Amino acid sequence: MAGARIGVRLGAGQARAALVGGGDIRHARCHSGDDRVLARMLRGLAQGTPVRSVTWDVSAELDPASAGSPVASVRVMPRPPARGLGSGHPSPLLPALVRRQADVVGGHDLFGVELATLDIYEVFRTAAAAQAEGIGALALTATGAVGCPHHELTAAELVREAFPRLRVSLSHQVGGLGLLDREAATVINAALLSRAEQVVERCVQISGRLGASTSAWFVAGDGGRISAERLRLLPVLGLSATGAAALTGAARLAGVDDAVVGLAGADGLSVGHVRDGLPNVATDRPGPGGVRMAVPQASLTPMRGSYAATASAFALLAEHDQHTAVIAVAGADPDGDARDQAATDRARTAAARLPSTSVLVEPPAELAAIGAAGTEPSAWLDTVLYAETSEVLARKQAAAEQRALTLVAESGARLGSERVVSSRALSLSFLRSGSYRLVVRAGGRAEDDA
Amino acid sequence: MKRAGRPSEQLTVDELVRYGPLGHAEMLVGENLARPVSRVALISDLDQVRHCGPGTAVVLSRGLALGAWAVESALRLAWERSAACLVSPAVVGLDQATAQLARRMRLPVFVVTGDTAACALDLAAAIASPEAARARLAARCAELFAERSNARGIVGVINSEVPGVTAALVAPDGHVLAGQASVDRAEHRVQVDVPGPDGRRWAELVAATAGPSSPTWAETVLLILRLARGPLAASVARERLEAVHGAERGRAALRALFAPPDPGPAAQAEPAGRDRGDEGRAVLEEALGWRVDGRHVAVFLRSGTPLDTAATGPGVISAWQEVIDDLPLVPWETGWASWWTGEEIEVEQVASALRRHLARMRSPIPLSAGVGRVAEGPEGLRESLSQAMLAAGVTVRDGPGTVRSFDELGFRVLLASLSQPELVGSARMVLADLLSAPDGPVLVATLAALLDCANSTSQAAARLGVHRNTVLGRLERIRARGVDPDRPDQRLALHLACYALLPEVS
Amino acid sequence: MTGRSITVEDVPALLAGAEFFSTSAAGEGIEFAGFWLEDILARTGPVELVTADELDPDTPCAAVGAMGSTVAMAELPPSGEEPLALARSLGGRFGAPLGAIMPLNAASVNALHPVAAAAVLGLPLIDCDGMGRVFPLIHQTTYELAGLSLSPLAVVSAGNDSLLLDTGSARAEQIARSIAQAAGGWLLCGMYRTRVGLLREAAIHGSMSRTLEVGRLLREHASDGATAQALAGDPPWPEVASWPPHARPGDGESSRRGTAPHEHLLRDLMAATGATVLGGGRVVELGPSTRQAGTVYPGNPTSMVVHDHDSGRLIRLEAHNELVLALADGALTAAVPDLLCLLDRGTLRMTGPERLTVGDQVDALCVPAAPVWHSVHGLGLGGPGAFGFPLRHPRQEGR
Repeated sequence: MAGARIGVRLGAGQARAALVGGGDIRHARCHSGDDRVLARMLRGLAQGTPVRSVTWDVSAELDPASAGSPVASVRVMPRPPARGLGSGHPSPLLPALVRRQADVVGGHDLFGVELATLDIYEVFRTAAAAQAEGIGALALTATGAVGCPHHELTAAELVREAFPRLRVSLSHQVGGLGLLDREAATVINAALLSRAEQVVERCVQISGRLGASTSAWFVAGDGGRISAERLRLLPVLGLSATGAAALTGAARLAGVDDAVVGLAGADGLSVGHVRDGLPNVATDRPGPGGVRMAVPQASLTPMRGSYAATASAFALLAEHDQHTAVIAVAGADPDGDARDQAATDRARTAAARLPSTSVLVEPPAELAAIGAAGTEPSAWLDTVLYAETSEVLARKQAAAEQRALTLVAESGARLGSERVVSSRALSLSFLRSGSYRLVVRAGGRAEDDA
Repeated sequence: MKRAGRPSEQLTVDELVRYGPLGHAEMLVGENLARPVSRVALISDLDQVRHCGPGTAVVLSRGLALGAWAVESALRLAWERSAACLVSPAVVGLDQATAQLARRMRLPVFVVTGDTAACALDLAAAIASPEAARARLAARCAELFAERSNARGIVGVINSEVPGVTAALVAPDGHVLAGQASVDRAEHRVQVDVPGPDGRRWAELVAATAGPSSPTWAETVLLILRLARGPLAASVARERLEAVHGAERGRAALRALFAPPDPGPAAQAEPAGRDRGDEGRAVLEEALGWRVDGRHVAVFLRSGTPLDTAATGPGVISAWQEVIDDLPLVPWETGWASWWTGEEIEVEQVASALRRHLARMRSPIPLSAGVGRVAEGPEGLRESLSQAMLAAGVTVRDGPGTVRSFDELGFRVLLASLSQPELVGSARMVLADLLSAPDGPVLVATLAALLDCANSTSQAAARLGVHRNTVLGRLERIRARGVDPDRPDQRLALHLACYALLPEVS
Repeated sequence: MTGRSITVEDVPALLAGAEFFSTSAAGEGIEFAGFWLEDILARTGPVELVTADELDPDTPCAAVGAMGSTVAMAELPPSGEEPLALARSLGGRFGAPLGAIMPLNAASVNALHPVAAAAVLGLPLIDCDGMGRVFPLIHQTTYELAGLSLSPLAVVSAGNDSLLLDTGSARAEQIARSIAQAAGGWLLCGMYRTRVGLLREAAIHGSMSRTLEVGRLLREHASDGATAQALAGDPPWPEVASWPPHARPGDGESSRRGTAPHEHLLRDLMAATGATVLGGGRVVELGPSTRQAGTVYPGNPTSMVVHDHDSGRLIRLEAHNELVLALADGALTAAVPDLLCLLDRGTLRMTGPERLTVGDQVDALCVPAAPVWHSVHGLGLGGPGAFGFPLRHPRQEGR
């Protein structure tokens, strides 16, 4: 078994790990509180086999409700909301995280035209007040930043120079189109910065004890994997990673690249799709606390009901899907190493309703940990462009695809393994004809892939 | 509008594709091309399709290049009106779904990149005067006939270029020389005689049409057949000439191959050079493509009557080549030689193949054949050929079409080869009484057959094709003339005498 | 419907109904407007929803609606002050303040803007609209058909650029469209300033109620159905442990046996809206979207094909901002002004070409437009011809 990969899921005080390599899968479990215990478990799992990478699913460690620190949020718009009308967020999570909210004049339109000059004095005043109140992080969200991040970058530079201790999250690095959703993501991101710092540091250290050649990675909510540096900067990307990892793991164990996957838990069945080895993603999924974040997350549709009910519903979905149907046991016994019995029963009931071409996966270890071990670099872009002709569109689209491929390469993809998974130019309704929203997804094979 | 003629007077979609204005259009869907086209409608408003009659070629103007939906709408309306085909300008998004729909409706769809109005005009011109269009077809065929060098190619032109027509070149005995065998059984056909090099009828060029043809269309097809006649006759003559030339070269080469190496000064002068055998081999293998090395079985074809092989040769050779075009046939002594080559080749296999081929061969003279033994290399080939010749000497007596092998005949081949002049003289004297009978030759042949069959009258009767009583009667007359085939001490002499006389009496 | 009001609790249903009547293409990403409206109503209190008959016929009123891109609006949300600028412009021009608000169209994000405007201005909202669906141009209204004057057109941008345009309907449309492009991608408009008494003939009555009703239906199915998801606000796996209080474990079986959840929803939608199902099945083709030069219409036309599962027919849907035509095997079966909608079988939500990929399962519905749209003038303003499709509406076939 030369060059194995380990996946670890941290959550509920437990660490569940899976080692994948050479067609063999081993599993281990321990309490996650003690670094030495964790390191010992990983070494025991490796049994002397060289481990190329450890990929961590830390989404449970990054719960913004419990792990978030208060932030100051700056929204840059040409005209601040009058009397605060319509600026509130329906989720109690955000008001809980935002200690100070400020509206600053500035911003660009979708195509990068400046709508108002940035009020740098207001930025400065807000940052000063935040620092004085002991707030550690600032979330900066400018309208139009996805097309032109100029105002966010200017504001960030100003804040870093004047208040070096204040950490800044910029919305254009965090999410896609949609100011409110992106602002929510930026706030959550800023709130998680210090927690992410600790978690990442710890995971990198523990991984390092397996040897100098073992690298540490983190599962992202879109089912790809990101580097420690990127998670430190953008912890929001590491949220809701468990479902994505489980989808990836289920498809891997079933031996298919494209599948409709049912993840059976004790309480229900979650349905997702895997294409080209990567989970289908959406940006309009509710994230932590029901907050939508304009950040790509694996699409999982929960179905509840009796075993028979979820089985018949999934059978119906599978019947209409052209890809292989995969049912996987996703729940693990909370206190032991065994698979959750209820989840297993649910999965078997569902599998019994499916045609013989479908696959039942009863994983020899925690599914999300297996999935984490197998994650590969990926990248995602969401932007707007204007193209007079289809030639210009093709050129601009190719440029955006190139940018996505570069991001993949930066996430540790083996050179030449980068590929565009999907690339769609969608005509924007009710804008000048020739306006497109471009959504690009790219993936690659990790450097440590055996 | 042109008065609607009988449907078959009209050009079909296929014709318009083959030699009409649709030839340059991209065929998105090629279903149901045999439909006749009665008129053309250039459509600038979808509603106009509703007024098109059956058989219309519906051409969408550029103004309707609005999207796949417009083409599909027109397609649907055209289908409802039983249109013959739809011609569309190039449209963004015209795709598999549109093609799928057209295929389900069995409506041909063409996409024109240029101006569809120009295409509509061309279509209208072609449809208004099918004769002009058909004349163009005939001209095109004539042009292609000239480019083809053999009968197969010429008949092929008709089959590929003339829509709805299948053609074949058929020998007087019904044997299909080239083209589609099904033509012979077709209900609606047109035909012309094709003369051979001697000017006499050699074959018939037959064309079958898909349905009852209109007079004009039948005329067009007939015109095309006539146009093919000249090139066909020329190609036959050319093929024969080539065959004879090739055969002559083959004979020379074979002779060289079989010749013993020159022991004389020439060999010394060219110690490392090729001797005549090598030269012959080179001609056979390289120029004629025949195989000299390997495992052979030689065959020999001959006629019962002595004849001038130079005169009948071309006919025999071309008849052979019509049946088997990949095996040599070389004029050789009193007949023609050939051989099968192959790792697995067996005598029986060759004999039965040859039997089959002889039955099909349209030879100008009746032929019988002998088959030699299996042999290796050029030396073996010569031996096998000698055996085949001996065997053929026997089969020629058994009647045309007979094929027997050297092994099968055994020592009888020896007897058959004994027609030396002295022997013939002695035989005449020995059997003088028998020969002087009014039916002397018949009695000699009967006696030979009886001796061949170990005096079994029934076998001899079968061999001769007469009733056993006839043989018994003849045996009585033979005995009456003092010849007793039962006397052991006379049997061999009698047998020899019969064989010596047989070539004369048969 | 005396004494009805629209409260914070009604917003999710309003949003779902707004998506339904947006004829699929225009409904993308308007959830942000739901949060926005909830926040406004939470601060201002409910909006009074009245019928035109309940008001004094002399009450001055005007239609409120946004023009431009919902994607742009999501990126540059309204400040909440826009209705004030509109009311100032129109009130100043006529010398009398507005007494009521009516929706330009009770669909897509424009089902929410008039509610917000009424809330911010403290005015009643008339239960009617001028489209009964989404049309791309602000003068494609029954108000226009009835002879009400669109202009003066008051527009205001999210940057508070404000303008009062005095010109003809089509000109106002064109000029405002270029302002929208330059001012951040969308504008809030106040137009058809009139008196309530004139709405009797000019408006489609009960539109807001209908939107709410259909929205409630969609939400019930989305949360009841086996694939309940985002609309209910449930977080995805693995935090799905808790049952939603209204879900009864296992009881879905009996009602679902043999039929898919989408079939129940379709049946209910047909009953509620008079819709017909054109067909349903796999999306087999999503056409290229190419810019069209020289048109008054924004956006790009595009096309998609659904393979009808039951009949094997190919249903081609032509979209230009919204769904415009449906052809089954080349035969025109439905067209504007009737509404064409796509239901995603997987999520039980309305969807559109922009959110679909080849292989998705959808059902295509056709909801008949208000009768006035089927008149000669109605079809002239909002029929296939108005969208550049030289086709007769299926209803004209007999004429």
